[in-house]
Amino acid sequence: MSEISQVSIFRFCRSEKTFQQLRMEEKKYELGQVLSRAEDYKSLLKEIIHTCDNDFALVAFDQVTVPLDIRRRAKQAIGNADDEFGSDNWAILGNFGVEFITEKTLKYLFDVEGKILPSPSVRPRPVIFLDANTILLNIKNLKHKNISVPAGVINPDLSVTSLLAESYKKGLICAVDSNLYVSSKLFQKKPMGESLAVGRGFIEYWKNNFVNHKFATLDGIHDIENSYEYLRRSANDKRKDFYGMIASAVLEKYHSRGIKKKLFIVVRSQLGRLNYLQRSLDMIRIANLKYKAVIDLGVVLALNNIKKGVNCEEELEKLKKEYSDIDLIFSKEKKTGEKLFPRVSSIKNAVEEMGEDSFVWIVDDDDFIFPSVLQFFPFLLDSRFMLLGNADVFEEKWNDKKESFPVSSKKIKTFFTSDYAASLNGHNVVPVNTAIYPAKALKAVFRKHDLFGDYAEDYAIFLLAQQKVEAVYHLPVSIAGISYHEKNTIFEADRTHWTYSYTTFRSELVNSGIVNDLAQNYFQYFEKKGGAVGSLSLDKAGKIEKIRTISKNLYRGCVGDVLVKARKTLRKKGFKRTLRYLWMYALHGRKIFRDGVDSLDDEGY
Amino acid sequence: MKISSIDVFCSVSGSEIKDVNAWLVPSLENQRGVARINLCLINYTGKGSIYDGKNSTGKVSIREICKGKQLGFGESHNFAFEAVKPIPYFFIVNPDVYLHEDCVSELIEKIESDKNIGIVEARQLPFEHPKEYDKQTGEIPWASGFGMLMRSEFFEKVGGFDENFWMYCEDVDLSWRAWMADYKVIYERNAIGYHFTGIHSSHSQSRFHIEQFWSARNFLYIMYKYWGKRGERKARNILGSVDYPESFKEAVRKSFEDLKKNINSSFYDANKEKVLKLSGKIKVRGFNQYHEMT
Repeated sequence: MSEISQVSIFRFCRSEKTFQQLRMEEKKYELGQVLSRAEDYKSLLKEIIHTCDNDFALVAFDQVTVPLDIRRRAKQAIGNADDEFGSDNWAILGNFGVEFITEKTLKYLFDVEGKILPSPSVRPRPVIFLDANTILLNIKNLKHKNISVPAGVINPDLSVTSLLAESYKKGLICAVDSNLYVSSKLFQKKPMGESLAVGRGFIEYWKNNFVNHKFATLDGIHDIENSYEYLRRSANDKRKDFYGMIASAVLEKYHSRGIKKKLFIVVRSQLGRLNYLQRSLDMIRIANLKYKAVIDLGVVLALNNIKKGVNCEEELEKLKKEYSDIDLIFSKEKKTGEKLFPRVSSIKNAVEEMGEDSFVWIVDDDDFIFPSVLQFFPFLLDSRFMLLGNADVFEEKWNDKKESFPVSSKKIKTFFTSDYAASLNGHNVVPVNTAIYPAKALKAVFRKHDLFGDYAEDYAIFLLAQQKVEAVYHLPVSIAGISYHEKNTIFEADRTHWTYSYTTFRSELVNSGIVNDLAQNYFQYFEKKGGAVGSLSLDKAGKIEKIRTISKNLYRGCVGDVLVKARKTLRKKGFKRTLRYLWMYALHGRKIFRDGVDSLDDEGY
Repeated sequence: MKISSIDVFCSVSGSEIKDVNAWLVPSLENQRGVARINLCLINYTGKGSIYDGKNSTGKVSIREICKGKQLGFGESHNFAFEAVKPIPYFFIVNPDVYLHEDCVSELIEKIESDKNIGIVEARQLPFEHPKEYDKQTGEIPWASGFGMLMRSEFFEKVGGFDENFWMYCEDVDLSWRAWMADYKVIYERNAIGYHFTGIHSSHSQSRFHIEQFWSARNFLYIMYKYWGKRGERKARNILGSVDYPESFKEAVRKSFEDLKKNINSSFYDANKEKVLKLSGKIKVRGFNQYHEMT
């Protein structure tokens, strides 16, 4: 952590009454706050940026109550940002915003709408929108890059947004950090849509600087009538794509840090369908060609249940020769205890050889990764997180020749990260190939748990690993393809080995305390209240299209009130498209799915 | 079969050159059954020089050409065709594509199998284009410009791409003109190009993209070109029902009006009989949809 300078604290008082009240409180608690009755928030920000002698300034509204140890917290947030982005590379930290990439609302604020204690941010999370209630300005960097609030912007949130935009323009990152957690008293804040309607200055600023016609805020997405000049032939339009600009600024910082994270893609294979395996390796090769400068990619072929008649050594030699441009190593099954469970042991064996600080992406040989997702990995991979993405499912036909591509291929559906919630209820619908683990988490799983079984091991590993990380990072984009093809083991006549294996893993999960007493109490509480544990799909008009209950036992047909309330909330928040919302896992008491729950957990439960 | 050499055209800007270096060039180097590949990079920005790599790598020789003004997709390839004069075939491909090692040889084998084939389209994976094709003959209504091998004689005979399109839909027009000139347009499912564009842009819907604008504008144009005023009326009606903001549609209509001032309807008058006869190939099934969905 770099040396941390003194932090100034400013309070923006919108009335004489709040000014006097804060003055009384300041006398009592001696937080060293500077109380301001500036004409407007934008003027205060401008003044602070130009005149503050300290390197950092915390600016909070009058309705906010800061914790008594806010200085220590602010310093911690500064240290986190310095560590994460580099001390010269960030501009503003806040406590309530819309996260970059996931577009999830991150709220570290206790107010009339948000009563649930949030999980910690673990690290500062870059944002595309930031609420104005409390912000921490990096005065040194803002001054150095000559950044200020543009003229004409008045509204507080829009002032912060335009300051955020100006910061990203100059390559400085803005983020939220749970160290800036505060309480906010009842305050009738205008919805952002209304602010935008009167915020002519901001709209002019936006139209002069950005091409986007939509703008994401905490209330949802808002339209901005913007010109189409950038689409015309020979257009001389210098404006930027706002979100593209943020992505470039954030990714560039991570790509240029010179720290290449090691990612092992573990491809599980029986060497029985080499053409599928070749497709999988081709995709890894394509990824490696473009992203080898930013990610150190290794490939482990985890061999298990090798079919009779396959000359293993010969095939491996051929593969090694054909894929000489990728770092391809082999891992074979070995016994676990008395018995051999090849699918488990081939992964365990592979993971044992990996460095503690590396990452593991497990796929089957008929799966394939989407190469372009690797550009995000320098930013997304963090040894404190497990990463979870969506998967696209393709219905495929392959011919008998050894072609490394299907005869026909059609995307038929997507598994969303929220679908993984079903695993807590005992449903193993989880595709193995969209979870990326810190190697140390997997090592801990294999160290602590005896995984006796073969099939559904992905289910057990997926749940157990979540106990070994601080959070699960849900990435709302497809990162891999899954092949549905004719020769699927689902058609096997005797599936008792699946049932035994699955039951054994579930027993292990129960006895490892995947669900603790606190969570169990919440389950029971919801059951009594008639709460739904499930997800909602909304159509374009915001109507509930489909209700998917994760637990029929908990559903019990009496969720009407809850759904009506949810629907109102969703509409108020401007959600129009399909949204999957996990009702209850925020309250689970464990880390599982904690990060998969969006802002709707502010329902008050 | 071993082919001695093939010309490959790729229209590219400074931001796309990374893809060319990372994917296109290495995948061309790995092409089996082709001795020599001449890659012509068309700097469509019209400014400066964008390629700073080697002039030759493995079996691939690379040159950059630039007309000194910004070019559309069709203009770029017409310009390259004039500059290179490829014989007997040439392959045009997007910059962000990784070709399977048999892609080029499969395309060539197909075009050489029948002198009446004018265009052979490669197959995009993992997201295959959902358009119908004849499983026996490979015939398709139109071929996508993402990766197509063309017979030079055909290209010259039909006058190359129609530059009025600027970007998008010119490949549909060229395919239709191939059918009208008694050439075949064929889909080769064994010629694979991996193309991952657009998967990871979560905020891509916050703005409009060149593809949306020019596809809409060229929908009006192609309907007018092939079906005259009746086609234009129909296209305007369909555009009116599409879920775009009215201001966007207005900008599209304006762009078409500007184009219309400089063109006439002689193509329609001269070709309406042929268009009618080829209704199985030359067809519109909805907004910007020139095929049956599979």
